[in-house]
Amino acid sequence: MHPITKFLLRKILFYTATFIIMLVITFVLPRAIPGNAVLMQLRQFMRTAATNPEAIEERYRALLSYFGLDKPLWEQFVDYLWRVAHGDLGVSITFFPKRVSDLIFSSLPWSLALLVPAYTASWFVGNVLGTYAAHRRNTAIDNALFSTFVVLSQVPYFIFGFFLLATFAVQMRIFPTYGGWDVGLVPSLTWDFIRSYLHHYALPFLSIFLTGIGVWGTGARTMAIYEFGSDYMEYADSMGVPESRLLRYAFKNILVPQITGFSMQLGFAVGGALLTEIVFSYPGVGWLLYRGTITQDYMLIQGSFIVVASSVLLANFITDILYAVIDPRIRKGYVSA
Amino acid sequence: MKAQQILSAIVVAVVLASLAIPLGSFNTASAQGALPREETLYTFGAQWGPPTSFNPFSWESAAGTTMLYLPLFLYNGYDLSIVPLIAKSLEWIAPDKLRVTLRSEARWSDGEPITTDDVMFAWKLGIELGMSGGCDIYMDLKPVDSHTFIVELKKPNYYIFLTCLLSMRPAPKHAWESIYREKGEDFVSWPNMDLKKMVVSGPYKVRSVSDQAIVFERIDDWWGKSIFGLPKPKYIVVLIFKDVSSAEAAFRAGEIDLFNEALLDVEALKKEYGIGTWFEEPPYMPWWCIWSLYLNNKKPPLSDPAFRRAIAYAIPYDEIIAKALRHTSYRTPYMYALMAPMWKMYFHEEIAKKVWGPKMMPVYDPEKAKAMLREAGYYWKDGKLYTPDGKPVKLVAEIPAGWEDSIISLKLIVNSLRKNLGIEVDFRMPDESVWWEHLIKGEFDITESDTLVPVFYPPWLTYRAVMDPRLVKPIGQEAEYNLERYENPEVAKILDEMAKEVYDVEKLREYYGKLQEIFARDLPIIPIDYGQAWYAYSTKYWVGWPNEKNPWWYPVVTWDMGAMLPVFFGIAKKGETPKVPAWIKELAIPLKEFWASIPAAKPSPTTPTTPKVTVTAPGKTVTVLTTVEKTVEKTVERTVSTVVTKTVEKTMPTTVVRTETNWGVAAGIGIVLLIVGIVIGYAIKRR
Repeated sequence: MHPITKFLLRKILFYTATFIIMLVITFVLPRAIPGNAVLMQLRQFMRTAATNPEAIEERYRALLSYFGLDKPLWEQFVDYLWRVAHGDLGVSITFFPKRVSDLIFSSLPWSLALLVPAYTASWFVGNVLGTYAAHRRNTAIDNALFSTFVVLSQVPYFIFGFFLLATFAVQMRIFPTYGGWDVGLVPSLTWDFIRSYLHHYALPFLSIFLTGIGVWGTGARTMAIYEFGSDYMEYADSMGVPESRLLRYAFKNILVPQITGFSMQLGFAVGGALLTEIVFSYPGVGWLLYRGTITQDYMLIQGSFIVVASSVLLANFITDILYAVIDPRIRKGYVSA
Repeated sequence: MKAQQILSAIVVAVVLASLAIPLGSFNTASAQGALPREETLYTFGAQWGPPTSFNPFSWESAAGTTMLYLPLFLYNGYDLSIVPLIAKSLEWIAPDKLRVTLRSEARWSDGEPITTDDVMFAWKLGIELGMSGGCDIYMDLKPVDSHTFIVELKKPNYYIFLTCLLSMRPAPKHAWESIYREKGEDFVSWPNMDLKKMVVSGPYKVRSVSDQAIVFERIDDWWGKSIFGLPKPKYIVVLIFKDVSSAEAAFRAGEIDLFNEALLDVEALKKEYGIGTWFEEPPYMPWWCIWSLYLNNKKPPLSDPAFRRAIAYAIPYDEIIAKALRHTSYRTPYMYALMAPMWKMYFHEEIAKKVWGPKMMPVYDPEKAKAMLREAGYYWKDGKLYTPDGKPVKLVAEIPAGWEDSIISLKLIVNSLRKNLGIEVDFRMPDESVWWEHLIKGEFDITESDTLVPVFYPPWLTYRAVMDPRLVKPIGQEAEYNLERYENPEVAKILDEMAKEVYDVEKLREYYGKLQEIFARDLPIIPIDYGQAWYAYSTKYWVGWPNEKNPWWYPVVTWDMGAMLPVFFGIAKKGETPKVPAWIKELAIPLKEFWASIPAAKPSPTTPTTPKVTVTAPGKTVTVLTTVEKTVEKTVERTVSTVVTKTVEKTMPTTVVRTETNWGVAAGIGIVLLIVGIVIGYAIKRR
């Protein structure tokens, strides 16, 4: 067998196994939370009007049987696997009668629109600044950049989000405190909507972008310092190669591990920077998952996890392959092994 | 370096493409213009997640569904009367048979008449889908003709009969029957969100739906125009915020007209922003239910009524109202008879005075609580309380995390129990769902909760929910009501008797007195304050709101927009003089008269005389006719001269907002941007 085929087969097997384990966990975990989604649903029903006790019991049974929650656990599990195999993520309990897949796919675009540009920009800027700092090691510029990186990378992105919110939205009132766009507007290709969207977009974007710069910057700086200390760099430097070119050499060599990190992060993008979306009430998958969790909507939690986990697995898989493509050493290693 | 070039191009393109993805989820219908502010009423508090369904037979239906599908009658929880809406009149033809006549004018929004068929269809649909509210156990429907049907009581319980009667709303058989036939039981998941095809009976239709708002638009040729007039706001918007504080900010800015959620500082809002509330002074907010300390009646020593009564004197009521509720609620003696003030005709002062003293309710008096415990055989050792049989008293108090008001309230009680009575109390804050499960399964010691029944309804319903022994479930099994698990067979008898004899005012008062006495004696739960119906309005754009000084409609909240429909008819644009619609009073049938006419309908076999009582709106006339051969019905009614001959236009211009992503458009734009990205990347590289 061709080594690359073997490599691919091994990877596929590994990811399939991981996927199956993930399916089991997404089934078990929501059900392990104390409490019960259907009971909470009933509470709403009981409180809104004078309801007959018979009706409550009737409704309880109807809800349980509709969502198949009255069956034994193993049967529920088989049902669940069967439905997942058919691409059916079920109907949400909280947002009944919306299908989980519809809910996810209507919020997914907003998550991606926030996270992909924020991740990409922070990755790029972080790496460039990190490499630059490494080259100017121990100068004032490096000190300033490095300390900024460290602070930014150590602040959790959602805390940073709170900080931005408190400063720019609550205190200075430059940006809105909440939402994806102004209430009353409906997503449309109008100037009003785009302006409103970008206005709401700024703070969540900055919270991810700035903390991201810190993370990538510290990493890039450390690796680039190592690169600048290597023989080929010293040689190039002594040959009088201009700084810009030296930076480019170093940049390229630190790329491989940074790309791995980046693609894994992109995989998580689907799950959304969950807490960012909650802090800013931004209408993405993260917020959906949060609603699902606090209302114990098994279907919604399962569905969201499957989509998030699958995209992480997929991203990892693509990274594994990209490795072989980008880095000749890795490619050669597999082929010769 | 070609690979690098491609790579950078891809990066640029991916970023641009990801920005473009949401473009696919834009609605492709014509862009919706902004709503004229002075024609629009903005409400908040009824809808929390994205609206998912306008199907009244779904488990989750969006705010306003009850306004789209009107009930036969409205209930006025302040005047305690019934207002016929789609129905025209009610008439007891026997003590267990009520004849209901529908208005001949009533039409669906597509022009089809609303008939008995639609009532029967809704009734059967409810039973088959398990959405009848349990009413099929208590009554049955018999059609008579296209606009008349008879409701028959299966069990002699007029209170349940009333709630069932009020919940009846016709469904458009001509439009829904085929859908039901196709979907069967899965009809509950039919969203009824096709705005173009939606057939409604109310004066509003849905104009647009998004994750942030539901917009209703008035139907200007609504069938009820000649009888009720038209509601004043051209548009009603139900706003969906993800948290209350941002909604409150919008309310302060005058962007919300009616606010049905908890407000932090009502006093400041009133002072600085001129916001209106039901009461001008504290407690500001009207009653919704009775907020109480729930004690598990199955666990000793909480099972001891003497112990529970002692605790009632260890609750720092005033401190709770000041600190936890910021004076947005209050206490009345009626609470200890499980009532709100509008039911005071059933309240017995002498009983309240006998049990609670001149204040007619328990007051914070730790010394008295201690004396009561001592008298009941409890004792203290090293400052700790012991039961008469020598066990230390240990309790667990729990309340959901995040319920700020209730946490403070319960904490104040727990502190008092620890400090004043020497009770060891463990204070816990589980998740709401865990707390709820503990509560309904009887796996708690003490907690706070509401009584689950709105106090606008007859107190009988609250008594049943709190004290009916037949609703007690064993510990570990989910109970619907009587969560504290109070078991007293005497109560069951009284509840059944009085539900049969609602028309006998004196007897009813007597029964209520008995319940009041039993409740005060055994105190299965301890009322603390009224759970508020959050009702606050802004007069920036709309004036004439009902309030305590001018209670022309009761402060029902937007959870049930159908029930608050008259409010939309009686308010006025700022600058215009609000006029309370005359029909609210004219059509109203007081509950008392409605009940009183039951015995008169008794068919008497010995005499040929058939006394017949007609309660017909308008005019609240009770006509007792004693004719032998022929019944002459005398109905006082306004002549309705407007005959609707115009065919109602079937197509309604509506804006359909599509929330699903148009991946085709997104992909297209993505590809375009990909190409742009490659070009940019190439150009950068070339330089």
